[in-house]
Amino acid sequence: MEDKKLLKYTEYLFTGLFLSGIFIFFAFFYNNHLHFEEETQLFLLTGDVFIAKMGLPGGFLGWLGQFLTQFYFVSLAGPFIITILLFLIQRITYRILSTINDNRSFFIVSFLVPLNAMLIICDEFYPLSAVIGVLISLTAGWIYTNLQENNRRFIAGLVLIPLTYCLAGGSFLSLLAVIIVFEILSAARARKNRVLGKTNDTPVFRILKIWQLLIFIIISAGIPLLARQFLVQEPIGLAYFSEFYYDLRIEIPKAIPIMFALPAILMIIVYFLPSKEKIYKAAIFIQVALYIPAVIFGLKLWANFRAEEIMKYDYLVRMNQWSDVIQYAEKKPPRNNLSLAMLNLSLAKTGTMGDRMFNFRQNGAGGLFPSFAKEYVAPMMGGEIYYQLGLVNASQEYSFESMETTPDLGKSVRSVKRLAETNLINGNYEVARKYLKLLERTVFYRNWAHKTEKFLYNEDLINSDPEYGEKRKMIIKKDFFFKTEIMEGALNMLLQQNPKNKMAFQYLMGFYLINKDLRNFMDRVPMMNDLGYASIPVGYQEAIMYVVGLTTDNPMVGLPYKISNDTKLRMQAYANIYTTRDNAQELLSKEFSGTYWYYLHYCKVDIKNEK
Amino acid sequence: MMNTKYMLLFAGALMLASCSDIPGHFTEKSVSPMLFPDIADVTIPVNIAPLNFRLNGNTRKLIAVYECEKNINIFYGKHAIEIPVGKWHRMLEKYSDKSINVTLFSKEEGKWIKYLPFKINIKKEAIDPYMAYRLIAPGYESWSEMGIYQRNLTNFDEETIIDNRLLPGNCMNCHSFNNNDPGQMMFHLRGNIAGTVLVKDGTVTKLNTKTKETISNCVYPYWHPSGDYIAYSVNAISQVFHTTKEKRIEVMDSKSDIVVYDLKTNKLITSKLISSEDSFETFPSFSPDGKTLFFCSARKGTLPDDFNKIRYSLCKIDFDPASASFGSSIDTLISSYKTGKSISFPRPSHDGKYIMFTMSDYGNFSIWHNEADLFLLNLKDGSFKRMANINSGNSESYHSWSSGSHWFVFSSRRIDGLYTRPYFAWLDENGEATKPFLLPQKDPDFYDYCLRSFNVPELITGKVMVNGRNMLKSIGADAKNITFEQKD
Repeated sequence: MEDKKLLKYTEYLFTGLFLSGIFIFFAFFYNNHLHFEEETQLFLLTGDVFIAKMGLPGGFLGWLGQFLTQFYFVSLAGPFIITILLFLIQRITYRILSTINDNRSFFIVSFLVPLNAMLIICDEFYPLSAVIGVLISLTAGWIYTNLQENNRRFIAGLVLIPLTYCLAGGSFLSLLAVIIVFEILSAARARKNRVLGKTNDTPVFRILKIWQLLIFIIISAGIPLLARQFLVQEPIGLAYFSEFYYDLRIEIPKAIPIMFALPAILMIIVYFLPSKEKIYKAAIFIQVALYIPAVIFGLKLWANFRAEEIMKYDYLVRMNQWSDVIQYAEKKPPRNNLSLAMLNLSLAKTGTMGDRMFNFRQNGAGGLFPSFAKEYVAPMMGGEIYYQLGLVNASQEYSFESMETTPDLGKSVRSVKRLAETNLINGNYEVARKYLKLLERTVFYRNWAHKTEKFLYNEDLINSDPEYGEKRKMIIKKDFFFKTEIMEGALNMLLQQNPKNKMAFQYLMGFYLINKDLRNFMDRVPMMNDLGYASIPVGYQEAIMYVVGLTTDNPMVGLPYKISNDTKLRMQAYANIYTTRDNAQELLSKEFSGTYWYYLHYCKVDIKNEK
Repeated sequence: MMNTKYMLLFAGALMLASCSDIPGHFTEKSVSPMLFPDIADVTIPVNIAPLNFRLNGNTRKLIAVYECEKNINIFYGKHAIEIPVGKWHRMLEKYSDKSINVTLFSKEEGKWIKYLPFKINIKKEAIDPYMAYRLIAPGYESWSEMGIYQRNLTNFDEETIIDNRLLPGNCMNCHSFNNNDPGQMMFHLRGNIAGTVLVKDGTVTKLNTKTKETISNCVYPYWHPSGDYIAYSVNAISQVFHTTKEKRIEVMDSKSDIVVYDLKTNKLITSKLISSEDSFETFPSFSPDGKTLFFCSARKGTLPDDFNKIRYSLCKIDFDPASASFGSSIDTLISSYKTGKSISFPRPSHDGKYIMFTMSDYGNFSIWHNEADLFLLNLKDGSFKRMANINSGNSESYHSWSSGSHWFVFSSRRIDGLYTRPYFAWLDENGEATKPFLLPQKDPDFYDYCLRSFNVPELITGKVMVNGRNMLKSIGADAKNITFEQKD
């Protein structure tokens, strides 16, 4: 095959693989991060929001980033958007690099910028606007480097630097670096050509004077200071880098300056690579070969698959896909208390907590009510449990805390939605209306808000709704102060005020079993009568059988329930191994690890005793 | 008679403004228009920003006819009337100390409707032209974007004094001014650069107000009119969360005392009478002559168990600014034992006639108490009354007097029960307040989308000239320690 053809096909193939790889990665391996990004922003599609954003350096970038992020609501839209953006970044990077060295053998170098951008947004604290910012500055750089005439370039620089700062904030620094490197490399090439006697190579091209570059630098140094003085009060670092590249305002991570410097660095690299028209097959293969470890290393450094798992649990819970949570847990068992708590919530919601809770590895009371800092999404996840239990105020508190700790000082659509619901349940209709009005200004929650608005001041409609009506029935009438440290008390209060609260019952029994508090567990067994249990859940049977084995009294006297023969037989088999075999744990772990007996005997957990 | 007058008036208006869009045919509705904000029959100062409003409902076009002394001004809008600032002020100045009649025409379902007219009463006495306030979400323990801002009340300009965009992770609160003077200001910073920031005579100082003898850093402030002292409470504050739908949060003090900071000697002083072991003292304020210190006091209780049994009385003690000493006894002006209620935020008017205060069922953090209302104590005869025209079914809480002692601003949650908004009203010579109006905004929908509360609205006579940027050096510096002296 002809070299040029080979190169062309390689380019197509590599680009295709790169883009499809990105799409597949975000669609099937990292999609929950995108859902997470979407739920933690509240994007109102109004002129006021746009105008307010435009008042900030890089505000357009922030607006556009949030505008596109809202489409992450649709699972495949996010990967598609990211893929398109990264494709554009690659194409423009390639064009810029071509102005330095047009040997296409090194086209793969241009993929490093989109790769870096792609890796960065694997961290949930880097918003999509960071990628768009790179794209905007590269576009400006591409315009600049394509101007042959130096006066035009000078004027373009004078316009593009402030414009990029205005539209895209910090990435104007990237543009400045591209401009300076471009001029220096152009000067170096011109000198080299003169030395080699190839003056005809650049007949029109003239490089800028040093004073012109100095003006660019002075403008770049001065504009953020002016913005800080007259537009917005912010720390000096943020005035330069702007707030749309990293959500946490307290620091500017090194990755951002590296990201800004990368196009200029690559320009320097390609300058030193051979520029003859010859196609270097070996170089292409080496680049491809190097690319694969770069991707693997980058993903190891940036992608957090553990967080992705938690986000998956969270997403399924948010969507009320309780059975899917359990199915997912069967494939990927929870690896921390937050995921475990989401699983336990799903078991309770499907009414199977008593049956299946110990089929999964439990980790003390923290797996029911995880302790967490009241920051970001963790309280939202914790709040889901309180919401489903009927602790509406606690859920409201945690949703509010979650919203107020969104790192970019924004609001969270998920929190606002939940706050609309809790206020609706509590009958605070005007507050609920306020939140619904906000959601009516969004693209994807508008319909929900319109539908929910019908509940305002309509007691009958709320009371007959499967979700809100259920919460209304559970509502607490006798006040007490809520603390996560006194969950046993809170659950007992819930049951005392509403003995039909099956969620609270399951959690209370789960709490006692997990804490190996069989006395309190047994005391509450008769409550099943009022809760419409047709039979005793398997986990409870196992606990009861254990108690039966310890006492001469039959705790089941007077109850309409029976221990199944299967449980009795399994108990016998378990007891045989437990009492007779030296390596009992090893043997039991194979067949009985999903039983309460195994948990009771072998799982060491922090027992939670409440005063 | 009235109908004939209006018919003639509108006939005249139609003739005068034949080129205008006043509808020739309309249906008269004998109902008042449902406006937001409610500006019907309010009394406003001559210098206030335009009272823009919207008509709730399905209106497609609006025409508002402002009429006074046979002169009319007509404004148009779609669902809202937004009046240009210049035009509005010209109109108000022309009709100061008079009333404007406003008639509203609304195009609904293709037909023009004329609503019952309403009045806007204009007082010639201006309100202090600026207001400082904190914007923060009405949350629990965390906060997002927050800061202290100032609003030019004569237009819609808002500026940041200091916020956590500049100081990420920090919190600022309890801004206070001496006699509404924007040049004498203080506020507290909480976070990694904590301290009390004092602005006086053009200098900015950061203080560490915690001493080993006092319970906490200084909390609720009030300037002495001389500018030489600031009274503070020191409080051990905690909060708990309710589980029933009626209440959300309870904020309470398990300890509190009152201290006075002497700016000249850099010393905190107190007396056992206002820092008693057996009672909680909080919310100090000085009389305009500077010789009396008012405060709230409650018998000590065990918290949180007694949270709904702690009730604060309004008390006073003499203060001698010359010797920085306190009187030897405390007088109770309003006893919680008699009222069965609890008092917070006593704020004397600048003319010394009244104290406005908040009264709730118990405790002192009245913003979370729906039953909290504003009351007025007549210092001349000791009588006090609920301010009937001012209060609502939701919490009314913090308040501040304008320099003239007629206008005042107060916090209210009446719109939705959660988000605090500033309202203004006029107090006449008989101590009667007029119907309050909401802080005007350019866009009448502003409050629908504003997710922050306006906390501690303080009226000031001009613009605060310092801001976070030019205070940054002092804020970043080490806080100056202060000393403590027990006066008895």
